[in-house]
Amino acid sequence: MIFVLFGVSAIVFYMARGFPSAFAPWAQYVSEKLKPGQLEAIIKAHGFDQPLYIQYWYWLQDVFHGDWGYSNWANGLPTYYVFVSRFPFTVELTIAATIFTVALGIPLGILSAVKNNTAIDHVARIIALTGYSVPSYWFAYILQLVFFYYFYTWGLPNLPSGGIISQGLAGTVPTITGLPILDGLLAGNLTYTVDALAHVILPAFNLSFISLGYLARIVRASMLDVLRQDYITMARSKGLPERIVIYRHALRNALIPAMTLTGIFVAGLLGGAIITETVFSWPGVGNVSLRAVFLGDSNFLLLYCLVTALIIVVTNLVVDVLYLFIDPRIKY
Amino acid sequence: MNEKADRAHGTESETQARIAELKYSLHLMRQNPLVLAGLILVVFFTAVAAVATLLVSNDEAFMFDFGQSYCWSNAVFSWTQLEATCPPGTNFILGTDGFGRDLLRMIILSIPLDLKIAFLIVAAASAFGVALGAIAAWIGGKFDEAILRITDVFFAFPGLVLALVFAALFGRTVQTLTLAVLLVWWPTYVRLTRGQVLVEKEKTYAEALKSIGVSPARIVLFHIIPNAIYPIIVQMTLDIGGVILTFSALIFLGFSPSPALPELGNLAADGINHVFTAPWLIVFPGLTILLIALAFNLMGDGLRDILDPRLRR
Amino acid sequence: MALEDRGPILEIKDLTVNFKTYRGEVKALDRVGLALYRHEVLALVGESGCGKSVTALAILGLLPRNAVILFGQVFFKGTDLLKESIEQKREVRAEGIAAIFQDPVTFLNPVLTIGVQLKESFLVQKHLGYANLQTGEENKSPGGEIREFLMRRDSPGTEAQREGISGREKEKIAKELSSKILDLVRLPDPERILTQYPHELSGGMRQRCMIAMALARRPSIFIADEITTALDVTVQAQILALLKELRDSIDASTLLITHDLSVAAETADRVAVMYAGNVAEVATTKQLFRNPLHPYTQLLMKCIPDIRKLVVRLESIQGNVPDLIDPPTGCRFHPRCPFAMEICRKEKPALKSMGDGHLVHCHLY
Repeated sequence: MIFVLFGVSAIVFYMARGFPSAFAPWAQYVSEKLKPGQLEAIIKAHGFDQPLYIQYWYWLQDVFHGDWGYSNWANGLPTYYVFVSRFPFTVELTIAATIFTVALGIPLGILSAVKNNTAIDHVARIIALTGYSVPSYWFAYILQLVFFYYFYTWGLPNLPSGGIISQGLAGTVPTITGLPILDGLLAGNLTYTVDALAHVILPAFNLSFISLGYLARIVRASMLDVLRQDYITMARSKGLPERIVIYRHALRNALIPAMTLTGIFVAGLLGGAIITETVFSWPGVGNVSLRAVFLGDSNFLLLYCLVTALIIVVTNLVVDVLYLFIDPRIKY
Repeated sequence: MNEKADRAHGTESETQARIAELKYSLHLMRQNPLVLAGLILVVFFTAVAAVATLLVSNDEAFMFDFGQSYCWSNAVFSWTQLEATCPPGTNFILGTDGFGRDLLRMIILSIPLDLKIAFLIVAAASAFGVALGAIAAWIGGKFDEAILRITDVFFAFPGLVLALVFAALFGRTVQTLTLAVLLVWWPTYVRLTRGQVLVEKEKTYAEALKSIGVSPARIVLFHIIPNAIYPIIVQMTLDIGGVILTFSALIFLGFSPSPALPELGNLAADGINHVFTAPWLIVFPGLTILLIALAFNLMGDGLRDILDPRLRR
Repeated sequence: MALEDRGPILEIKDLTVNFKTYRGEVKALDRVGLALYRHEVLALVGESGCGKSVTALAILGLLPRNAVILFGQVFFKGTDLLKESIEQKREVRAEGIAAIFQDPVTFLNPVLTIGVQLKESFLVQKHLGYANLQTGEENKSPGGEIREFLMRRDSPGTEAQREGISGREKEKIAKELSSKILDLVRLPDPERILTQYPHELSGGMRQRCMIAMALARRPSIFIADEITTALDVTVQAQILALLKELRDSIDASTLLITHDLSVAAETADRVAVMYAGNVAEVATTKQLFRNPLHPYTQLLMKCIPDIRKLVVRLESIQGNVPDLIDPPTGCRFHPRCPFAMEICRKEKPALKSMGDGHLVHCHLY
């Protein structure tokens, strides 16, 4: 695991700082307020004039002291602050997207498996496959087009086209958790909460449309496998209603692999859905990372990549552990 | 099922068994309407790609055409202002963009580029990944460990980030973008192949071949890989769709090499500014990507069902 | 004991079932006819692939999707099961005919506890009508209550009042009954077993649990499909003894499917021999072993080595089990039959009764 973190950081470091076309790493520290000698001092302190591997060492030391550097383009704020202030928004989006994915994907997969090879199955599979064939940026715009623009022109209540909260309501609620919906609930401000909810629906659905395709496929495959097992025949031979056979006997077995997949999705989503956040102007971590890439902010990129790598690795571990609890056959 | 064939003498019965399996696969394919639909779409798009340059000349499609085109045949209703788009259903089947360029023609011209790049990336990633994975699985030991760790590192990058950083640094040419996507895709094949080869390695026929003295290269190349190839083929089919999506996403996000590049993501990106006024500019290119990806995914998903050893009798 | 006087509780007539497969239609059952009488154990014996399990599945209504019932009837308590709706078939499985299967490892759900799987066998019945376990007669012998419960299958009077039991009450009753029934099948520490998962038990214990699950539904018929095949010989003996014991305490019949003649000899009252989708011979156990009439049965008997005699080589029946996609014409055994005649190739032999309930399908008679 540690190796992965080092590997990720090394690759990004090498790419971000190592190439001639790369942006000057000290550009993040430059502002008009700098006096002449200070720039050299900064360069010396962070080792920007040294060969790459020494720079890496300097950077590691900085990081151990909690200094992730500055992101000049974001008003000169420290990098970690830029990250941390945006992260809760990504978390909100992730939670909403996961709820959609699970609530829509699992029933779709079950339907497909139970009605295998019928017309319903084919329709369900096409829906699932469309999910992961659709370009997410395109789908995002389509959603905006239909639910924001056309609904508006047709006189229907429309969903907002972007942002986390309407202009007028921003800041009317104290920031406790950083997630707008939760903050609204905690403050008891219903208008705020509803507004925040309205804002999260489209981006969350956009994200989930893709993952629910995968989830439905996996659920379908494992349900088909389970439904062929002997213990299902046994359950049926007991005269149990088909409903119970499917939900109590089959599903519990079939959901075990689906769980792993959901864990991986959540990890990926927490890494910031760059495209969705950009299109919907969602001020999350992914959105910011895109700007960081264009502006050459290696500090931010390093922080971002490391955090997401950590999330992915930790999620995999958590899923492995969960397996132990869910599947009674596994003993450690 | 293949084990039985391998135990038989000579490769003749082996190929016979494989042919029988193939026939059964084709039979299953015929019964599966989704796979057939996917296949038809794939053939359709490949055909379009093959003859695209015959249908549309590059100049026709991409030359700026200020004021030369009329949206409708009736001169009274047409206009010749700059930056005016024509909606679909007029003289131009899918409409035009602000420069009077026919969308349908641009889309047709973009298909071959996208397909070519997708095939190239998948072929390269799979060739490299399968080779590396097979070698790592066969040799085992420290080498295998090292390869595994390296793929772990690549898997720890979420989605596009690696490709984005790579593209940002190395410039915006089609070649660098191709490499960027390739970087993201190759580890999957290493892992997949490694898993398959590890399983096959333990089977009795591999041991038997080893004991006869057949060289490892031959065993892996002629016996193990053909037996393990099915999930890889499925993955390759599915990946073509995924690669097109990723590649066009990269271009869409701003890494477009040039505005005149005939690429579907590029076309969609041009349409951002007119989402509400001229939605067709983004709808149709995206729809094309969707259909191409859907075609390959239908095929791949159906193939996965057909080739799943547990669902075959 | 004139068996024919008491009408059969299960009667199969002319059952013909095909399976549609990629390579062709498998003619699995060809005009199979059987009768199962009350309170008896009928063994259905035959090689693997002769259609014993298919018969069981057909009775239960659990044939796979690619099965086609061409014609035939399965009469259970007067109604033809094959013509029932899906829901009615399910009800029959819930309270009329219970199956016990071969390999409890694969036939028990690995992620559910024994307790859950056992309770649902109780709860699937419409009437749990034995509410007053607490106020029951305490001076009855241990296991007496459960036996009473098992006996009170069709008595309408008690049920009517029990209709109004709430869900929670039912759960409680089911739980108590579960641990008592595990006791009945001679499992130690029932409370603990209820909380365990199938993989935590031994093969014999799992099989007893399956028997308990079948018992719980108070069926009129048990179908035991190769229940001892997956077990060691010693455990086999125990299970068979248990089955005998239970048969005596409940008024149920058992259809015992096995490929092992010795199991049939020990436990069954009557034996039916099947070959390649046909019934060859039906007789009481004594009749069958003393006087086998059908050539196939005779050859089978010869194959069993007698431990008392010195044997130089083991006997076997020459030839192979026929391919059921393209079965032999006429009598399906004729290619391997030492007494095959011209007519055997052309016509399928009709049923001949040789008196005393001994039936045989053969042109020799």
